[in-house]
Amino acid sequence: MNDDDLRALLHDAVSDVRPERDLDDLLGRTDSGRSGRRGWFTPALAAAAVTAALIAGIAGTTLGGRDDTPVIPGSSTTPAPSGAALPVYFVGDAAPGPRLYREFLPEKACPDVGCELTAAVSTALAGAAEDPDYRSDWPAGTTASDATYAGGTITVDLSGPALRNRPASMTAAQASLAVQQVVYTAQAVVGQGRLPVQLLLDGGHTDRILGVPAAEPLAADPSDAVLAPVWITQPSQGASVTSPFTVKGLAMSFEANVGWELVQGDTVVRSGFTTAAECCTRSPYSFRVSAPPGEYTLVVHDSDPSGGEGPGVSPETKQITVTASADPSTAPVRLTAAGASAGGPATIGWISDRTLHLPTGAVTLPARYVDAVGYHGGWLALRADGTLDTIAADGSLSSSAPSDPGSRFAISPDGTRVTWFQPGSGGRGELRSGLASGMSDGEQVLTLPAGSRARPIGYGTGSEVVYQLDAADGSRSVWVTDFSGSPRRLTGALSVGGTSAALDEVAVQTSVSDSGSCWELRSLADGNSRARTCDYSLGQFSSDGRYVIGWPAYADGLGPRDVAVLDARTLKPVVRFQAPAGTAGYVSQAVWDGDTDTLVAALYENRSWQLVRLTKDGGIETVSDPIAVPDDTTVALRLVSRP
Amino acid sequence: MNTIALRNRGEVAIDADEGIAELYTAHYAQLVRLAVLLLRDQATAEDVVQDAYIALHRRWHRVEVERAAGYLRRSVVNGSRSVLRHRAVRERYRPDRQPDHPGAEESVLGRERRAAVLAALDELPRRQREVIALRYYLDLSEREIAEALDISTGAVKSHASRGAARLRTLLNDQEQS
Repeated sequence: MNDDDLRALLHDAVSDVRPERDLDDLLGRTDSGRSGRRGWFTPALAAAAVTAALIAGIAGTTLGGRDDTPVIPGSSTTPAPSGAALPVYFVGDAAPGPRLYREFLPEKACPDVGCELTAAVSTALAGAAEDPDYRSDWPAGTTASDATYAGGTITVDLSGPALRNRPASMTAAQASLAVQQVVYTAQAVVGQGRLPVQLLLDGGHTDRILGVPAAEPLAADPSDAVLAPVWITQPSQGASVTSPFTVKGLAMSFEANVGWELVQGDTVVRSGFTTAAECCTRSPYSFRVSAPPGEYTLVVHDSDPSGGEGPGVSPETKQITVTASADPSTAPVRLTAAGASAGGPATIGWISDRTLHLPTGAVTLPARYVDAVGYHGGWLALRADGTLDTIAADGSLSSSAPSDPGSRFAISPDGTRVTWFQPGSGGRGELRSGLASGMSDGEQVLTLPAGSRARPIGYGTGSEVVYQLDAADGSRSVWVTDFSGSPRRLTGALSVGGTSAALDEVAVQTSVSDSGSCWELRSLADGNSRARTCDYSLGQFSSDGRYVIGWPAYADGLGPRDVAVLDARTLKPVVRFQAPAGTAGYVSQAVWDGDTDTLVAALYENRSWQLVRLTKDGGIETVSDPIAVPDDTTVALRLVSRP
Repeated sequence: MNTIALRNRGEVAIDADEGIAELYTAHYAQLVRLAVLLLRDQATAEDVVQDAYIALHRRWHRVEVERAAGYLRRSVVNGSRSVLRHRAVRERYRPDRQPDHPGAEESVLGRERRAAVLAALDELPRRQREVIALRYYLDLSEREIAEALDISTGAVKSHASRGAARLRTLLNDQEQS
């Protein structure tokens, strides 16, 4: 295969891709404040959309509203005041020199925008910021006596002692930034983009203010030169938050890298890295932090491409209080195979390369698979590209058909039946259920709506199978079928984590939001909700139905760094395991080890994969030897479907 | 580093809507296909490309016209990365991918081959996949790839040779098995 072949293959691979959205759709979305069709990853980019208004305001294109959503101090514990808050810019120190930061002033009872302008600019001039790192370089006693917005121009009337010339104590750069502080504040309060700002002195025009030419209305200087490289927009200074909490902000950093630390005294309690949405320009970042209750300093900083040669990094800090969570979860156990003793073999099956490891011995498969189940003496197996293979008892491939890469197998509680998805003829896929062993096929078929794909998840108490349906239009729903009569839909369910034959219950996702999602346990018999959580995404039930796997409600990076065993009655954690901070550790999959209440998990850390057993009392044992991989994204271990 | 040059104040600017319309005609379909190579999923790919255009629209007065196409490319690569970071989590333990949109008239064979190539690309480390897509799909030079990904040309060379070798192995492996 030469370069031209690769070129041809890549062009061919996307030759059937036809854009579905036209120019009108695109331009319709550029009106700020209104968005058109968005995909499932909207939560990830919703922050970008919110800050779009801010960026637009600074960049000087159309802008419909004020700066992005204000964050009220103590937002998680105090109700927000009605109405919007006023953006105010302050001066703070950053690596390249003094730069502007922003806070929000709770809204004043103002009859008009002039009053709001006067209030916000006065606060800016006085340097009356919540954050002690922020200040104003204006001479003490400077105030905004009046302000108006008319005819596309903002006018701010300043008064104070000797403001025309630059005081000897002030550098030209400080004076220029002080003027920009007023310009940015005034523009943000009006919220109509980069409007010219006319500064007056004691009610009349002046040729200079602080030595800066001011006869004509002033424009905002480019944001990259005026605003600090890193802002924390949430939580705000002095906020009280419950753990885990989300940190959001804007950063302009080398390769978009953003580092953070949560500090208590001289101790770094938590730290990590994240990436802003875009490189080389101010763009949003966000990350989640969990920490024990206490007083902390949160530090977020850009990265220093020069390795210490340049001006260094620009940390932004906020003092925050982490209060006890409403959910008194236990402190997590360090999730690492380092130092763990070797445990007995697993009772589950797992795949590495072409070998299927079973409690009864190892089997070599004809290709690399992500999942396999016993079927008619041989195997049904799914490849990473979604190909479904039937493998005969002697290990030879008997048939091969395209299926769905996201699909898996559902196995009945007694292990006798297996259900899978198979694309049928004419675009109508099928859910098929067959006997796992024996030669009689006894196969049951449910024909699905045209163009849809199904993912069987598991069985209830009877012979009912729960499956997720991805319809041709991209919508998703959850259904239950016993292969006779019409399937019934689980209303309000977006996806399924697991099913319990012991309880006749199903764990379903009921909502998605920026910071995570909410899940419920529902009865399959009457559809009633039995328990609900927004702290975890739910996975498999243990076979006795007492426990359910809890994944992070929100996670970023390579994969989930936490896994918990939850009490299936309360959905409160019995034990939580968490990869150590500062490592690239994560768990790709976890399943119950047979009928026990112990988990077996595929753990990645330090460029290697290892099967580990996680016990309810917080113990960790290794189950396989480590398997080295060349990079963070190669998955070398797969756990196979089980009842 | 900062390839987004600031326009001089007072310079005559093309209207943002007009400029975006021109860039839509010239690059939109190709960028969607690039994003499909990086993400395997068209609906998401199109969202990423739309977001890139919208970001450009927003910064219209700060980006030089001749750099706009490069800016879009970069945004699409960065946007795809951002999606993958969020998606990695969902897929590894809770398959959550939107269905692809195969053309109804496609022959089964062609579809299988395409799916196999996208699956093989998906197996590559992120950087290698990006370099391979920019080199073999967009036919960018090493220098252009380096600029789009903010890496050195040396790194482009090594990612390209490793990526191509791995892709060949993966595709041959699929053919044989």
